[in-house]
Amino acid sequence: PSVSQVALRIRPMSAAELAEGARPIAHLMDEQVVVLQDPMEDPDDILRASCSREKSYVFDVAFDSSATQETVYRATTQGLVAGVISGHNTTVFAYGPTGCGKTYTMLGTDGEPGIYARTLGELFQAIEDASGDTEYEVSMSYLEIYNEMIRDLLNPSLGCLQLREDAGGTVQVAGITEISAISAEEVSQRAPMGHGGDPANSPLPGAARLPQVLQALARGNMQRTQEPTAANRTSSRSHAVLQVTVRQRRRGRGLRRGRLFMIDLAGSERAAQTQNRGQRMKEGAHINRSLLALGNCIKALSHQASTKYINYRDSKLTRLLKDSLGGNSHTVMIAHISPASTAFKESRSTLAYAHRAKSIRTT
Amino acid sequence: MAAAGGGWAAVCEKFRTARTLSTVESRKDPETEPYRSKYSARALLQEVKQLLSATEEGGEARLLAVRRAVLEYELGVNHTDTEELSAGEEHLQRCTQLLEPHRLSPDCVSLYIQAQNNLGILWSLRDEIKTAQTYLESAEALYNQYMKEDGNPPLDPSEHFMAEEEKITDQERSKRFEKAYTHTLYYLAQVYQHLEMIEKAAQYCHTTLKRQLEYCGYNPVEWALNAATLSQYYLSKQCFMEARHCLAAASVIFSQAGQVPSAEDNETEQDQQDLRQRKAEIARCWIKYCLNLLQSARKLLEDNIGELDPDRQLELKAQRKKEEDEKEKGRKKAVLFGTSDICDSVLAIEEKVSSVYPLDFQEAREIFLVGQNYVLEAKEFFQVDGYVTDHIEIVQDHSALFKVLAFFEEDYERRCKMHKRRLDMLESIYVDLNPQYYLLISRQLQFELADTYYEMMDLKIAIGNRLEELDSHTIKKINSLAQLAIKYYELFLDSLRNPDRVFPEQLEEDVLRPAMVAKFHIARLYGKLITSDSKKQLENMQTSLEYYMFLVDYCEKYPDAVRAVETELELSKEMVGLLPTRMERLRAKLCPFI
Repeated sequence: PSVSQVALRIRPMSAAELAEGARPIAHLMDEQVVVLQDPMEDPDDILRASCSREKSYVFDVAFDSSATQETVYRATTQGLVAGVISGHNTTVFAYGPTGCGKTYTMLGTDGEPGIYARTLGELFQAIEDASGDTEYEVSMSYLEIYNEMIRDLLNPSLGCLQLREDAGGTVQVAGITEISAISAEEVSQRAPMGHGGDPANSPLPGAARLPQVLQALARGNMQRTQEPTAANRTSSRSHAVLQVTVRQRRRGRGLRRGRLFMIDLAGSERAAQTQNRGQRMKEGAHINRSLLALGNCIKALSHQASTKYINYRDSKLTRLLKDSLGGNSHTVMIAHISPASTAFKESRSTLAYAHRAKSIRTT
Repeated sequence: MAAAGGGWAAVCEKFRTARTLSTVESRKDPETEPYRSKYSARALLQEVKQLLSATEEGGEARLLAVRRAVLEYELGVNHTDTEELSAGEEHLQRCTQLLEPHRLSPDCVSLYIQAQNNLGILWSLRDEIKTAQTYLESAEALYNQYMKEDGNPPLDPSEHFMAEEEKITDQERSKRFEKAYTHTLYYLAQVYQHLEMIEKAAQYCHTTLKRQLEYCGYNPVEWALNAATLSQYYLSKQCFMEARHCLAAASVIFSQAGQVPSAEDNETEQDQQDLRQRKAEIARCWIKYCLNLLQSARKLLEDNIGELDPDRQLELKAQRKKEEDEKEKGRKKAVLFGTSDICDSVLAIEEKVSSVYPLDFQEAREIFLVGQNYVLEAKEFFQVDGYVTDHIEIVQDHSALFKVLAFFEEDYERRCKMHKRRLDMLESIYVDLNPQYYLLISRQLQFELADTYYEMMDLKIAIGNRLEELDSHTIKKINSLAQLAIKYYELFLDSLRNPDRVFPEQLEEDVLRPAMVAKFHIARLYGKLITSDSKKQLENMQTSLEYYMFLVDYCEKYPDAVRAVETELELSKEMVGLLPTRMERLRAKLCPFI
């Protein structure tokens, strides 16, 4: 089984892009190949003119605007659910610049639910269908990491929370709200006749509770920190992490625990420094003005070396995921781009990054 | 003066207001209108520009030009900040054009350099790093030329819009000028990094750090962390002297931080916590330093079976004597941190640990002890409860320190003691670890424990061989060590099974070699078990044979794997040929009548 998978999703052109006069330059060639055309039209630039204006990128799977939420879910995440139930750790990331569809893919809308909803639905159903000698507990939390601060999106009033690590293998957020979505006892209570119960009789508690859970997620998403950039776009610098834990207890077989992280990453676009607040600029060719960021510069130097050195500037996100990114865990990255010519630079950088991600090992 | 006194003061006031808007007020701009203050500032600057054009007087052409240049500069930066790069570039170019003929004189040089800095930034925003590089290098060259030919503290650009009495002191002028140049170097460091000129980038980072200490004002904790991080870069290049210098400076500057008490109570606790963590992180960098130095020395000294080669040792010692003199000269040229007051403190720390390769046990031990002290320091903060991964990494480093020290130790018994220390510390963290969730670390520990038991067993055998006969106590010891090694290798191999407990058909690249080595070592260990029971001995040989066969069979099935285990494969093939014959002979002895 592959340990990681990289998918690419091209969203439809937006009204704003069409109004600007942009044309589509990113195309899906087949199920796996995406082609990006360089829209530069400077006939005087002889150097560039002689290079190919098109570059193609191969991914494990690629989608464009013709793909439905269901299709994307099936191709990327559905197969992982069984693994989570049997005790594996899995992470699904949505990566890409602001406005390219990450939240749509992960959260979706009421009419077009995204990966969160479908995964949870699948989990609940699988647990429903399971045999009686197995007990399940599914719990989840929804948190935001913004500027290295962790907030509980289901209970934002708690303020900033801390990460703790213990020898049992958990890196957890101390004090975060956990919704226990199903408990096996509740299932068997409603099915007094025997193991698992007759599906026709038991009132499918999973299905009944799923909408409530999704509502909680939608509310939680609105609690995310928003801050517009100068270009008057709603830029998200916050990562939203939906953490689902499935505990399985089989009679005589002990306890297994699988964790699934579904992450809507912060916008990856290069941010022009709109205000000199010393906020760390994202990686890019541009120069960081503030001497406060000298550390980033120095840190990058030893990344050239192959030996492992102390990375004590690990972000909160990395720490939270650290133990889920090791060993035989699965990672799926879904990268997002806009097809518009006006977004060429961002698309190019996202494609290059996602392409590089294919060769990252998780162990 | 170019204008009547009162009028001029008003102009200056406008200018100052514009600058305040740009730098101070703009931080308070609402998020829906992030450039509001900057646009206001721009309008004011344009007004000042108009006023200046209105007062053209022949005699003061030079002064007027400089003032215009200041405005062009401010407008250039303003447009760049508001993402209007083309306009920004225009203004900045005009600024440098105006200053061109006088760029080396005290009233222009600082402004010129700052303009070039900003052109560098502008072009980087356009992703044209090489163009950025030319502007920044030009600024760098200009600074050097000015300092060589003139050297007096030049006017700060803001002074062109100040009344006579407000002008700043020479000391302040120098400070601001040097700060501008520090930024030039800092931007160049980033440029070189993007151009993958890593050594140059490191050099410029180093110089920037140095200048931060001297001119710029710095946060001690940030500075210390940056210096410690830079040391890791130097370690990767085996530049131990520079690495040590960075670490020593980091420790000295960091100790300055603890002396500033914090105001509020809430902050204090978190701050104290942060401080303790940073201190521990610096300690961990020191551990890596000691470990690296020892391991690099080992690589130089070891022969092809991993033992210390005495000839090479002599060679290197002779060579070192020669180099000692040259090193002293080199030292003085190196970029040293610190004003005179911290220089001594830094030196004091440096003197506690060597930066040259240790070539014998005594020298190795000294470095080991320094490393061990930092281990204890780091563990004070990174305790098991709350920082499992970090704690384990520190223990692994501690074990590695012992392992490399053992290389230098000649006496086998003492070596065994060192390995025993390793076993104790590794087992104590292993026992509490949940292998399901710490898979990678678990495997590392299993493998290291197995290897250490294996090593100890070999040592006991070597010690035993020096005596005439192995006594029963030694035999028991050897067997027990072998069994424990086997146990941990087996645990490691088990960890490779998938959740259905099936050993994978084909091994993944990153576990291939360790898995093969584990199998190989187990085979060998079964061959080393000492028993007087011939039947048991036969069983052991059979098991041994099976493990050797595994390697041979696997490499036949997956020829790509051969590269990873060439030596072991060769030996395995030999054993697969020899063992059956030996077993036959033994069987014949047991049942002579069949």
